[in-house]
Amino acid sequence: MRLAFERLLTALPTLLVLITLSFFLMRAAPGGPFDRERQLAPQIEAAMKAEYKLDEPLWQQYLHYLSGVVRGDLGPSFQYEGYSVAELIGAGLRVSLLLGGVALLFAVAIGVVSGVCAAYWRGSWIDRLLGLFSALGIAAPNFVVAPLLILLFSVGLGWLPAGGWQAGRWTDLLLPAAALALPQLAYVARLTRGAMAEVLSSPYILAARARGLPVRQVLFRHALRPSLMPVLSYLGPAAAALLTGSVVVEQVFAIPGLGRYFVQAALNRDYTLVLGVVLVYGSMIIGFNFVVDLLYGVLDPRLRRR
Amino acid sequence: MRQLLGGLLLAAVLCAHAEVSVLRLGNGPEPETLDPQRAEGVSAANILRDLYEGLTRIAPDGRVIAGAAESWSISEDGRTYRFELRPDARWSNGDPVTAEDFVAGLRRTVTPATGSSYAQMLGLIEGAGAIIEGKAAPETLAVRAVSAHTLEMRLSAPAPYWLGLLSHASTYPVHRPSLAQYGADFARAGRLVGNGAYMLDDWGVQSHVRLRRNPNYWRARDVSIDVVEYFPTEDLNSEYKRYLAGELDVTYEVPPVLIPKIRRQLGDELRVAPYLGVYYYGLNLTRPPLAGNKPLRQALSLAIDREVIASKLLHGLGLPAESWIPPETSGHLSLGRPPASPWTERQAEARRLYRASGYGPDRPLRLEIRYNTNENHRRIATVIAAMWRQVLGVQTSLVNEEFKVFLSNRKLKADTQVFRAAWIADFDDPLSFAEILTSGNGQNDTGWSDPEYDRLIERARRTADPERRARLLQAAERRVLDEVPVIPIYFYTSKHLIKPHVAGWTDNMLDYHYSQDLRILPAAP
Amino acid sequence: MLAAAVLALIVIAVVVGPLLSPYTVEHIDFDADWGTPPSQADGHWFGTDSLGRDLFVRTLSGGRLSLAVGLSSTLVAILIGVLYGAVAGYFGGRADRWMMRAVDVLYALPFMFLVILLTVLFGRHLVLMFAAIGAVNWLDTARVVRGQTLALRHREFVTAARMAGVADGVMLRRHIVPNLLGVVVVYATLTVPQVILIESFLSFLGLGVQEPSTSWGALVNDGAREMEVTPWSLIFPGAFLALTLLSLNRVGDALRDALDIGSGT
Repeated sequence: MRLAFERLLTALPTLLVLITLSFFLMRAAPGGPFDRERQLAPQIEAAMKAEYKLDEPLWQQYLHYLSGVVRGDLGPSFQYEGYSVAELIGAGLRVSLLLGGVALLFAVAIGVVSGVCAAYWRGSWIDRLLGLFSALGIAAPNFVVAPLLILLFSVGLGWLPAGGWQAGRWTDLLLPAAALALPQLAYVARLTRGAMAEVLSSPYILAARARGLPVRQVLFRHALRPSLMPVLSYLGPAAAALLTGSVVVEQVFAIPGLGRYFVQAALNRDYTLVLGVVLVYGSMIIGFNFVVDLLYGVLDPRLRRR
Repeated sequence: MRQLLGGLLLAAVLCAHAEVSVLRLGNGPEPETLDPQRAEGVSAANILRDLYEGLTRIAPDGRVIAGAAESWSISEDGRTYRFELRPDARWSNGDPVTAEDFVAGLRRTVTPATGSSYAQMLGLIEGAGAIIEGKAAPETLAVRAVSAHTLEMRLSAPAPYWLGLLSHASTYPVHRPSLAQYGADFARAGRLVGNGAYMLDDWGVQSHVRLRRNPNYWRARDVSIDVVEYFPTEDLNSEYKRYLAGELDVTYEVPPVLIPKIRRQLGDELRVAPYLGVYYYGLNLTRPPLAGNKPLRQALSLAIDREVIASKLLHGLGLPAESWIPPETSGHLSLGRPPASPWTERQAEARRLYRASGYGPDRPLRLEIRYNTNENHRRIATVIAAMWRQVLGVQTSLVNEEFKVFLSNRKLKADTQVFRAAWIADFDDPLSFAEILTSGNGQNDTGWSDPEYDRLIERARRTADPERRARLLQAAERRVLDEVPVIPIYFYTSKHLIKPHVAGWTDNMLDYHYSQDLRILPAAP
Repeated sequence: MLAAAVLALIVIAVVVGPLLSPYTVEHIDFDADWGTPPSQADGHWFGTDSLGRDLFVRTLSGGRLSLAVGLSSTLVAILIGVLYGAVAGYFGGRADRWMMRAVDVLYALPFMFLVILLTVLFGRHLVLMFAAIGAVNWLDTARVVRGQTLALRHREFVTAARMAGVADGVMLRRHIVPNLLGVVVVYATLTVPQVILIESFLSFLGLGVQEPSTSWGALVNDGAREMEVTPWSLIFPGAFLALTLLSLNRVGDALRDALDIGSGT
């Protein structure tokens, strides 16, 4: 528990490092937000730079930005005129969280169940089938899986939309979430199977089964909890992987999420939007690790005492 | 229970009557803004054509027709334009559209603080130059409201393309009360007041822009489609699949690699037409090896088999460019295709020039092609590198840079040798292509500076007689092809997939399509 | 064992294969059709891509690059990770606490995004890519190695050596690091596939290797776009990529079981 809170304390310096790093990286890059294929007249470009305060010394802009962040102001977007970064991120974050949440749910729920099944019927055809499936999940990049899913379920069968995002249309969510979840699902299944197999062959489970306790009770009451530990510790990295994976999936499915914003913003030198997204991502990873630490304490009483 | 039944009945009646016709369009990259004076890209322009109306507009077949102005007269010297606005033209909130609104729009475009990419395009209006440079007040622009519905503007030189240009977004009127209330942030759903056939209903960034028909539009009764939805489609393949799945009625583009299959399966739904744009390689003429070596530049141009690129790589989505200005450009005396010398002869000629330029098998040229990260640019550069390598023995390497890095390198002219570039005409006139190669033009990243060429363009600019003007521009084009500051590769085409139930679509050179001219046919029984 | 054999075969194919074909990665036959299916007759055993280039040669030499990126980035990651983890674990105490806190800080950075930023902004030199990917992956290794070192520190031979007055540097080099070899090998085999996937992800964003060079990631990307017209352009590189990733994972797991190393948390 204390460990978790100690980690949380490092959040602030972490975010500061992150902002500073990203800020100066962005500014060191050639090209600016007003460079376009069609070139602006020099006076016009100067006017634009003045409007966004890009003509100030860099350190001053940096301090400006920091003081803005402290006040909760992420600045205006350079690319989407008339929109503030906070507004854009608010919209994108809702979408990304929903997508990522559903994908994580898929990954954990289906992954754990199939891992348990595989461990219980170890060596049988079920185990082999699930093994093959998870192998595929690990070996197929999602930019291949996603178009295949679209070809099959949208173009071929016509069951689900091929892309886009309309408020309230939950079917928009299924294919992208599946494509996003698949690699993590495979990993979770493997981890669960491994841990479960180990627990199932441990003396106390053998003893429990010898006493004739029903299978379901043994599996879910006694064996599952210890087998979840490795899955839990994988959740942190899994969440991070879902974030990056979302860049691909959001592009292929034309979903207005944060990953797509980030790539677009980096390409367009939308300085404020890039920093805003990086900041949100950093906070999300920190928050997630914190939750995982807490859960760890709940699941493993030995850690709670520390 | 009775209430429920009533509700159901009502719903049924509504469903039967409210046959809301919806047009769903793929629209490429997300528009950066819907502020007509600040917008730059094609995707924003597409939406703005529905939201606003200029003095003129473009008919489906590409002709210039009356827009917000119902008639006009042009003075003898071709420099003074007088427009009579439609008395019944209304903004989407019911306010009348006046000449002052147009004056405000034009002034706003040329004011430096607005940051318009098109300010220089309007540089032809008297007084615009000084305003753009910040030396004069926007009020000095030679555009004035003679009365509420009469507008007069004066140009510094005659321009045959001027009427067509007045259909461009940068010349649209401004609804002054909204500008005063919201400043530059007026271009959002719930705020934007336009004078076009549609009004902005909803805008989800990176998701959709939804337009609803504008009941106050002067010919609202002739507008057939009720709702128009524009979807951002950055990824060609995703767009194509959404079209196949029936989620889009019209696509923004078509992925070239899939063309053979598309032609086989979709047939007439694929629409390809010439478009006013040229894809070319610029040569940096400010440093060796390309500076001062004309035979080398000619050899490089000759060694490119444009037929192969157009047919095998682009599958007909580009037309081989043997000249600088697309032959279909209005009023252009095209040099036509050069006498069709067989490919083997061309190769031999290219090799001869290459040797004459001082290079050969024992002293091969090392050359870099620079392009920005993009599927199409990569494929073209790969093929051209192979052509130069296999025909001439040039050791070509490819450098691929992210767009903004690429732009700034191209402008600096310090590292570039051969760079990818493209130009889409702002208006349907050969001058739009010709003027970007003049000395010091912001778009001229080759550094080419040819007094002879500049003189030809300057004379063409001042010439009112169309015949003489066309000859001058033709001579200028010949100069480009001879000096080779640029290597044209292909002329653009507009390419769309269009569902059979979309009626009224006509291909035109500018690829302008107003939703008000389209109809949705009822589903076949 | 099967996995190791497959892996060996792939490595041999990748090294020797391109020499067997009459074609090169960049040659284009402008008179022939492009995007032709696999055929024995014309020597395009895997067919040609949509620009008419031989897919057999491209697939195998793409493999060279993918494996090279995988191995060298892993090497970078392992090197940093082992040094960092061993030092932290060996000295323990306050040094350890601070060093691990720094790792925690780094864990919270969205590294993939920094890699994207780096490659977007500073061009795509291979070296930079190795370094960037390597820098992302050393954190796991550092944690595991630290744990192992902590355990080692209390073993008799280390205590004995310390009593004999062996200097810290020598201790680390002679006694600690060699005993970490097992962990390191396991982690290396599991990091290589990750790196290969990261490279393919960068290729998806157009930030991968420079044409005419290619990698499995770049090929699979092109293949995925063209699969409806030229399925072979996805199938061959895709199969190589998948087999390699699978085999590496299998070998890593087997090694882990054999050496009895925990999952490392």
